[in-house]
Amino acid sequence: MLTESSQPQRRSRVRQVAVLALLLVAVPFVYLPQIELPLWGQVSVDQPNDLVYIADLDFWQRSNRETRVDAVAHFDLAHDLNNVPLTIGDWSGVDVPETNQEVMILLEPEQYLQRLYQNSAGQYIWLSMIGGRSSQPFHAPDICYDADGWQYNLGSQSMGLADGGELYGLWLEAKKRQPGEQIDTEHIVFYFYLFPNPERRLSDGIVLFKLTSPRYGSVQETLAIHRDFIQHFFTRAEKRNG
Amino acid sequence: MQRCFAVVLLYLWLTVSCSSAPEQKTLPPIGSCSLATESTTSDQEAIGRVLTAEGELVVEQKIDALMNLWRAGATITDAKNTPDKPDDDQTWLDKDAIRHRYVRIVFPGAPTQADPKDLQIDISDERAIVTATTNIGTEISPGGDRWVLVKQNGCWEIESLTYNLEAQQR
Repeated sequence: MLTESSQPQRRSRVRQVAVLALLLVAVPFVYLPQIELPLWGQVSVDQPNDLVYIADLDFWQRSNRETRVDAVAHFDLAHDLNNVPLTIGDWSGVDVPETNQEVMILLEPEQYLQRLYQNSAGQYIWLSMIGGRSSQPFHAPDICYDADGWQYNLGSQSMGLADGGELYGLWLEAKKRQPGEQIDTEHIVFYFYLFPNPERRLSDGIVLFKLTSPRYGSVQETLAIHRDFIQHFFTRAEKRNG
Repeated sequence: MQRCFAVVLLYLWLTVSCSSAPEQKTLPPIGSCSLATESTTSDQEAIGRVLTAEGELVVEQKIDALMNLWRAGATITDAKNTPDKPDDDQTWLDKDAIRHRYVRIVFPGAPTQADPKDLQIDISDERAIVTATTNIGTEISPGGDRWVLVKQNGCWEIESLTYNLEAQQR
């Protein structure tokens, strides 16, 4: 039986227990972010994996867009770039050898691959991969478009990957009125560079991964199609600096 | 019970308050604040210093310091000497594209001098429009450049550059 004096004591205990319970509930929220990595089994950046590459917007100095990406195929000069899948997801490709010998003479690439992929909706994307161990093969695409009389705007875009992270590239919106045509020819280009290791030495080889397509709707709508294509080759990205 | 409560409370308080804060990356100073300017520097002087530094850093090819002068979302536009015809403009959108332009278009030219001259600075609230004479090497184009700078948190940052604004000589 409760006395008059025991009731306030009981209320006080209930309050104390409630405060303790609240604090105990709060502790995991304080510590969870710090133990997130082991909990989710995140892979260490240094873990050896020959399908891991460093991607960046440029091959000169590192930019703050440098990422570590997991790939489903080999994109380095120790492997034949022709082994990159021709059929992937909804996309099927055919090799289209470069017939302009001047390109080869000018760029002197160690590997050069040009493919035309098409999806079930009839949309197509050109995949160009140029590999080299010097800066000579890597003319920035906008310089080539400019030299050929195209008008262009340039920006950057992050591509969300299926297993997380964002892969950054530069995009180009280029147009040119070809002789005898009534409307402009328009290209949307998206590209980035791949390095086989974080040291990024030219001698270890660099691969330019470049997509070119017509404009399907707006620039952003076209880049969404490029993202769908890229997501089949690269599954996860992790920012490295910046 | 009260003593036990106090001990647990103290333990939890110590645990929570002593836990390290989530790692925070400090962003580099932007715009005029990335330069060694004194707090007494006037807006006009700070803007002039930003544009002078831009030219010096181009010559020195210091890309990171250069990019710190620009604000997020900044643009560079080549007006192609047709200032009344925006259709033919060429634009580099945002800092990644601006960085690319410096690295792949400006630096290969190895300019030994790139400083804006005849600055006409028009400040309205926290925004400045600066008209300048292009002076890169042997290229001198009066009124060819228009810079827009914005003051944020006391720092003047470059928001845009439009160049080749001088109409083509016929």
